[in-house]
Amino acid sequence: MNSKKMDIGSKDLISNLPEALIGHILSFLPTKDAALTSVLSKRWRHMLAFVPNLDFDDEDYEDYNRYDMSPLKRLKMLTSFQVFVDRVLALQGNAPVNKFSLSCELGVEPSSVNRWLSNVLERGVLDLDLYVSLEDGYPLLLSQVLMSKTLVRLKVEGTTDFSTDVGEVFLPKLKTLYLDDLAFNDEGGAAFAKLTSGCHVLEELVMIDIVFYCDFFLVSNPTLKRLKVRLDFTDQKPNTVSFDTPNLVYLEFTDTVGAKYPKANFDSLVEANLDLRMRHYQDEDEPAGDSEDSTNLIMEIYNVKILYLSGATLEVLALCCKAIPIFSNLIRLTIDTHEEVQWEFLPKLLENCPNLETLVFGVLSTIHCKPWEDTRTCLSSSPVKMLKSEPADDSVDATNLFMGICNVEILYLSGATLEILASCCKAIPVFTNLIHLNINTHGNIQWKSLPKLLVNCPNLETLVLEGLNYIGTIHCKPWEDTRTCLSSSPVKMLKVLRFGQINLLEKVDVIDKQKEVIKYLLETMPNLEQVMIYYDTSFDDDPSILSTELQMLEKVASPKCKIQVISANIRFS
Amino acid sequence: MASSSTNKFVLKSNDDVSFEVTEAVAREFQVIAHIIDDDCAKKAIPLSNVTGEILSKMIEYGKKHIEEAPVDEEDEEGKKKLQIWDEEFMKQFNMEIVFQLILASNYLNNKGLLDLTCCTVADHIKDMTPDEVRTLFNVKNDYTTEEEEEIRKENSWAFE
Repeated sequence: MNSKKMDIGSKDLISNLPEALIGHILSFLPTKDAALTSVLSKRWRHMLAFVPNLDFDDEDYEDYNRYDMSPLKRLKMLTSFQVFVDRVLALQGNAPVNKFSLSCELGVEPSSVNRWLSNVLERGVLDLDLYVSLEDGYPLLLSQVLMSKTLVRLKVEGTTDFSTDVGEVFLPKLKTLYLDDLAFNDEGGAAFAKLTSGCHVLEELVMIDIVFYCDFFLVSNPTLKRLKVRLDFTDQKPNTVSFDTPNLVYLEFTDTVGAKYPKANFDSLVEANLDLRMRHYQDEDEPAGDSEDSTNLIMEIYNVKILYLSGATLEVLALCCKAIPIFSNLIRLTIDTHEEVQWEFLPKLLENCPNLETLVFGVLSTIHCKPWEDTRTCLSSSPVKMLKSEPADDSVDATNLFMGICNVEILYLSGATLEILASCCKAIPVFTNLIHLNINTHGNIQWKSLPKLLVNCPNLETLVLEGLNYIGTIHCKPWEDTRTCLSSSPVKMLKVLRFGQINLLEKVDVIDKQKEVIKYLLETMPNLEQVMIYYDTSFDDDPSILSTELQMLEKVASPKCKIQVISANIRFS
Repeated sequence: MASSSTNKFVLKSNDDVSFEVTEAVAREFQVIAHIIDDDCAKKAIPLSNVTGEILSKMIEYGKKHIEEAPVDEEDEEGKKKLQIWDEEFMKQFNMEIVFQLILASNYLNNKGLLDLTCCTVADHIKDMTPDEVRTLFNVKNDYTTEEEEEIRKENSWAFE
């Protein structure tokens, strides 16, 4: 076997591949790296002719920083780069080109960029990725680019120091348009409007840090499905922002409220991710005026099923919206925040979500007052079935929050939330409906918190423990205190996910320790019928040995209990 | 008419190993999909350019990508999971098998596997000097020293 392998090992397999396949391999490399293969052997000399994806970056050299470079050196590099691009394009002749990426910061001649773009556009390029930032500006949206009959994806990144003109636009095949750091400067916003209306099959539009030196910004496109607009970091903002996108399915919108939204057509919207912010200088005493009215925008997203709101957006909802719609389709709401949750507005929002199933809090942050106290009514009438919370601070009194969600059937808690439940809640509600409890431990299971919770889950059927990590030695057994609560628990099914996962702090004896915990659970919980252990590590040990060992534990469990050990591909039962 | 999940086809390698696969898995390979569409797939489909060893790996890849296909465009988690699986999948092969997989996925026209295998080779070339690449793939340098110097000059940007 070995000698055979050696035998074949001395053959030059790669050079014997057809040229098109070698070209395909080289197309995964920056063209500069691909060009290095030309010295391998004569067969490779002109292989670049067969590479359909070209990727040129004039800063792609290792030893020099463009700012430290002497003018002479810089000129030499620049000339060398231009010669290289010209040479590769000449070598390729009229062969079709799939993707052309060009990144220029060194001061390439604009006429060279024009020449290269003409070349690849004539050859029917499908995917164009341009980053050109020249000291004197460069008109990125050249008419020849905007009249391409073949382009499917266009990404343009420039600089907002120079504004971009838009001439005639006809991009009949363009599906994705990505604009980054561009400035549009015309009074009526006509340039941008021309851009979107000239794309007849556009599906995705991304706009990052675009500056509009104009009053009016309209996204109007009947085919658009995904739209991402981030306007927050720009000082120059249009006064009105409108959307006429009847087929939009996904909207991601970041903006500092200041504009009006006179028209917003989102009839097909399924998912929205909003990060609206109040302007910084806004005086707290001064109520939001007409110029900060986001009502229209919010009213029109009424169709969404999935909604992400930043904490700041909640504030905007409270202060800048005269009304909010009934979100009758909304099933999943995420308040994704690393700031303070704007509890004041939560009741109003939840009242308008009659079919909400899952509520996710990004972070429950530390606040010493208890603003959520006012949310009792809305929470307790909320139909939410699943509440998720990411790791949270422990200085929060979260009693009311948990009181409010006492009707849930499925509950996911992080280890930290479990701790909050035990230490920050004056009382834990009785979760009468709870049948499925999932505890995710990124760090340690808070065993001491578990009894309090389990006692209040009289109908729990399934308990899922994600990871059995704990700090401490095998001699300290923090779970022993849970004996009473576990032995009266009605849980029928226990799942342990990520069994054997290594805690980086202590690699020793992980398996033994976790086996010990499982043994304890099996002994203590009398109603268990099914135990599933998902074995999820890349230990060299034979998983079947471990599985057998775990299955031996059936003896200590109740007689009807079955144990299954499931590893990545193999199942032992 | 049976649905594509129950309909079975037999793929036969050039060393006479037969594999029964569902229609969905068979259709992962464009060439086989055409054979099915042309209704020429009544009996076993012979694949004259693929060995049983390679075919079994390709079917493993095809199956995984059917079973664990991301729910939709937005299913980042699903995509990520499959990507991790792809990486692990490739780790088991020596270069000889990788090149056989490139040829076979090109022949049977499975773009995903062709890209994965070619990208794996490209990863080996990346960040290596030409000499290291020659050693790794047993490429024999048939240039004279003068010729090699000339090539380096031609692409001086790359060799800078």
